[in-house]
Amino acid sequence: MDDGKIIDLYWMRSETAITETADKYGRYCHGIARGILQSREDAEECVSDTYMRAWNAMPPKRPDCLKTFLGRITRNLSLNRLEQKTARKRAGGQLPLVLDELAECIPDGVSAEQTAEDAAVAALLDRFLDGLAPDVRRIFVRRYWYMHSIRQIAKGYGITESRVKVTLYRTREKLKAALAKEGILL
Amino acid sequence: MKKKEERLLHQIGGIADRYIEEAAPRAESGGITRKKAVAISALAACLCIVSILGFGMLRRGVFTDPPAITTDLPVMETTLPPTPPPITETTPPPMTELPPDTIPPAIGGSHIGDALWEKYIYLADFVSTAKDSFTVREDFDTYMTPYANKKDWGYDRPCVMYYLTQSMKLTREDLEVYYAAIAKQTAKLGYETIPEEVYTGLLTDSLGESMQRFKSPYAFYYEKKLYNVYEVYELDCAGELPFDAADPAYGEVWANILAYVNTGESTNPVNTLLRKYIEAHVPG
Repeated sequence: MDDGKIIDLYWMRSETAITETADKYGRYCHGIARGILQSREDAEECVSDTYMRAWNAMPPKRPDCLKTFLGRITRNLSLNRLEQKTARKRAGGQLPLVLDELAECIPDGVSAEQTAEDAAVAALLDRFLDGLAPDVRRIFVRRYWYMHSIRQIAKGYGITESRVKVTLYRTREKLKAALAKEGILL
Repeated sequence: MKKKEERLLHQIGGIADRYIEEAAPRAESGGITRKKAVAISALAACLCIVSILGFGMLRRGVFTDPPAITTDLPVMETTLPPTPPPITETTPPPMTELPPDTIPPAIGGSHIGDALWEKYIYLADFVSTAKDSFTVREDFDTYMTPYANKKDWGYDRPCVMYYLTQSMKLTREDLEVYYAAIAKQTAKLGYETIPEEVYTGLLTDSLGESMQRFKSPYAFYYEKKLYNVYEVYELDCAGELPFDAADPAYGEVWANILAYVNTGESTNPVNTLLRKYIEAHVPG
């Protein structure tokens, strides 16, 4: 079913909206949740919660892109759930690895108290991503938005894990420079 | 104090839709092997047990120590709707996009997450540790561990609940206690009550009957074994298919597969040759 029609169903408060959403984007959301939570059961609950959040959000919202709208909810819920449920010692998955890698992007000598508007950073990130080659950009987003493993990315794009690592390393270096250049203090 | 890298991670969450969409997982890899699928299935079951029992989550055999997230994440809203609609479907959604290695994509077949046990996947091929149920008996691990660790399941892998029901000699009452204990989860998935067919499929002493009751509409059953369309295709091309794929008994399965392929929602590649192979078998 067309996304616009699905959104219409939400606005009409039709329960079919949920089943149509599950049919079309259930797997996509499940993939995001499972990539973060590394637990099928938790992922399933997260996806169910995603549908409820979507139900609660539409109306008044009418997302331009239903897929990424749902994906963002799932990602946020998954990260929240990981925080609530696992704490440091019990979590698995890509989160600790991703965070370690992202630490390399933080310009030296800046204080965590020096805040910047997230929207401004997001805008910078968009400009940064826009300047990357599409292949590099996809790898970066796969890693840091979808939080896929190096192995998954390598397999997905038919390249070696080494190449993924090198690509990510170079991209992080570029991002670090871009952040520093723009005076973004995280 | 918020960790800087956690903050950056959340800020990355705000990137434009076009980049998220561009990198969204799509059909990227070829058909998954049965061995790998079974291994993933076993690992998933193992993860479930291990995590719920409180032993932590297993990730490639290593227990990790990730940082806790302390940032307030930008979730949309915190209040739930007063009466959110139930998920009324009785099967999991046909998953359209998943990263490779997460849940194997396919149209029917020997894996969890899509089709083989699709009919009652959450009831039949998934086990949770549930209070006061057979899953907390002392001997549970004795039965569960070999199943979860077995890496070489073949086409005859029983779904985990069937395996446990038979090996632990569970009764209907045992199952009812178990499902009652996980009723909250199953209700979320649309099972306000457990279908009678689930009990029948688990309590029968016939593996074949169980398979036929629980198999997805896209899977091929033959002599206590289940095959997905990729396996059928590969085996047939190799002259090793143990049954006649053109048998009219499979006509409905072929029709279901073609209908699913035509939705364009399969994440596994369906190349021209495979499509022609499928079309050639669809009755009429």
